[in-house]
Amino acid sequence: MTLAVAIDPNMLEVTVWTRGVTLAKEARDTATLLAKAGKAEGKHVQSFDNYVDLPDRIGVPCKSYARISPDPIETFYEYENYRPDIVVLAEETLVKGHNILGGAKPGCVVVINTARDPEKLLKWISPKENMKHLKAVACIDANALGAGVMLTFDGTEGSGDDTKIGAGVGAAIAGAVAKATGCVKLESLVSVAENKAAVKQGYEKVTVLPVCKGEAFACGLPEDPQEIKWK
Amino acid sequence: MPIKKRGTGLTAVADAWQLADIDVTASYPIRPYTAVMAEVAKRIANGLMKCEMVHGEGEHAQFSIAHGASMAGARATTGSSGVGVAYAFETYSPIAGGRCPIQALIADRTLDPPGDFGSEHTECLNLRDNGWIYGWAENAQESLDNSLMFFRIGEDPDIMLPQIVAMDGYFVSHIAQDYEMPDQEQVDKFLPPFKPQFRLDVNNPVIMGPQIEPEMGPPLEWDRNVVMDRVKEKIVAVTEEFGKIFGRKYAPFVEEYMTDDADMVFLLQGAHAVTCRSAIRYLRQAGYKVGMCRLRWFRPFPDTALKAILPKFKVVGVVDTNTSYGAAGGSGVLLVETRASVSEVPGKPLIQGFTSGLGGETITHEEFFKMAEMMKMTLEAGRIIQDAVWVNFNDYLPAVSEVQAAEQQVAQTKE
Repeated sequence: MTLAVAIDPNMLEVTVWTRGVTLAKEARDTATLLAKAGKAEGKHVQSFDNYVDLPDRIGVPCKSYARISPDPIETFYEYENYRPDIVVLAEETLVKGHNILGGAKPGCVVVINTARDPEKLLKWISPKENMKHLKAVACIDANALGAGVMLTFDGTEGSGDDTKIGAGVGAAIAGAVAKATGCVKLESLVSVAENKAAVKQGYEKVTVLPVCKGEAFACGLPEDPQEIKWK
Repeated sequence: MPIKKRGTGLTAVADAWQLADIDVTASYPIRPYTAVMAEVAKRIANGLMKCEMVHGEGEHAQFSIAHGASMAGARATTGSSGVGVAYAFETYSPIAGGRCPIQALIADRTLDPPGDFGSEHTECLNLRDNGWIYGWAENAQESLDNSLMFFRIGEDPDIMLPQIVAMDGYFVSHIAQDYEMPDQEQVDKFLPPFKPQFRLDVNNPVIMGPQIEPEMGPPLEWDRNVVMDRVKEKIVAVTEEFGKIFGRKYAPFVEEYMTDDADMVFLLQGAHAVTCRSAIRYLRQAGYKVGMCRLRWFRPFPDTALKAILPKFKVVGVVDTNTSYGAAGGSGVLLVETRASVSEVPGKPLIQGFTSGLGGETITHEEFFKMAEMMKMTLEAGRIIQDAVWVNFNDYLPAVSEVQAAEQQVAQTKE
């Protein structure tokens, strides 16, 4: 690089990992909801699916993205979120075998849809050299919230999505992300989601584990212990 | 009232086709083109569009269906991507030579191997010699506007040529962005119904595309050649009229950005112009006197416009997002055409070729910075330091210090 400038320095990048077909729509909904909520707050936003992931294959790992920025987005046509601030796993087994922290910025938060405790999943997160950037792992059992797992077929492929945005577990996961990261406000998320109860439940039920230097509680308890809820 | 929408280049073109009240569309799925056919099918089902949708068994059939429909007097559309565009290759010359003004949407995709979804302009540029008129849109709004303008130009009784609304696959075709869907009333004012002078009609039989004698060939080809010059005049008039009716003013051939005092410019087409503009703002802050020229048309190639514009600059960096292996200059098609356009013009600039953004890779800010740095070196050297630069593969940044050292040595020996 010949010119050392940071492009989009204030942009928040959210990467939602999911499984092709079975959960692709839900992950796209999580990303879309976060972007729409950001837009409702007057931010500049984008949300899109990863184009090269082949989401039409059942169970294949694939990604949806959201971007929220106070300034106009200059890397508008960049394919992927190369430096995520927030990593969401729509399904827990994705934590294994994928470099979900690849390119992660310092202070990165991981949100996982799982019935397990965050501490149980911490050891699987990779790559290890980026663990120092990890600020917290949050878990939400979105599948158990009664919002219902919606099995949908991915296929907007650039055309409009006529289905309801945020009717299933994707809405609950978005709620959990809002609580764990503060990237958008609960009210704005509720205002754009189809299933408003799911958003609120996700927001309330999320478990947040602070991480420091790659280990749980290594930097002591946060100032407000109420933020942490153990099952 | 125009409607503010958030959608992709593909929904935008579906909007244009809806507003243009197309009669026939021929479809066959291939990424990234597919969504436009999904959109049109949905709109027909929802009663928003009245149009015959015919599904071909492949792209060759798809373009042939549109060809036939056009001969029968229909406003017909179709489209494809990547290898699909290649599969229909035989049909392009007959459609253009038969003066059937169908419209195709081509959302670029690389050709195989090895099978990649990303945007490269190669497949669309491959059919540049077949008499279709086309150019690239940089965003959803421009693809909608281009679709309407292209119908108007292509269907003009003086022109009668098929058009391609080209857009970069994924960037323009899939990334949601804000655009405005014009009012039906505005479109009706701008685009009259398609009424060809001749059409297939059982009551008034005509023959279209018959076998001809050799001596009948040259006049036919001469006519196809002459019409391309008329297209240029028509583009100027229609682009201006479009601006008056819709309020969006486009440069007819070449959009210039920050070129007033520029020593060097990027010359490119399509979606990468969006990142390029942003990169130029940073480069300007860092003291680079750089600008951008974006081609709105590839066929007819805007050589007259470039003859007038390019001598203003000292270095032109042509960014090719396509391959033409073994071409003069070792880069892509744009470089060849640009150099040929100004080759006989006094005071022509140094024209450097860059190949970048292949396989659908984004051309990042950093890559534009790097190209600007190389152009600056060329500017200072006053000559082409190295031809055929493929960005990130054979940049001449590291080589330049050696070149300078060698030149100093030569200068010393002369003393």
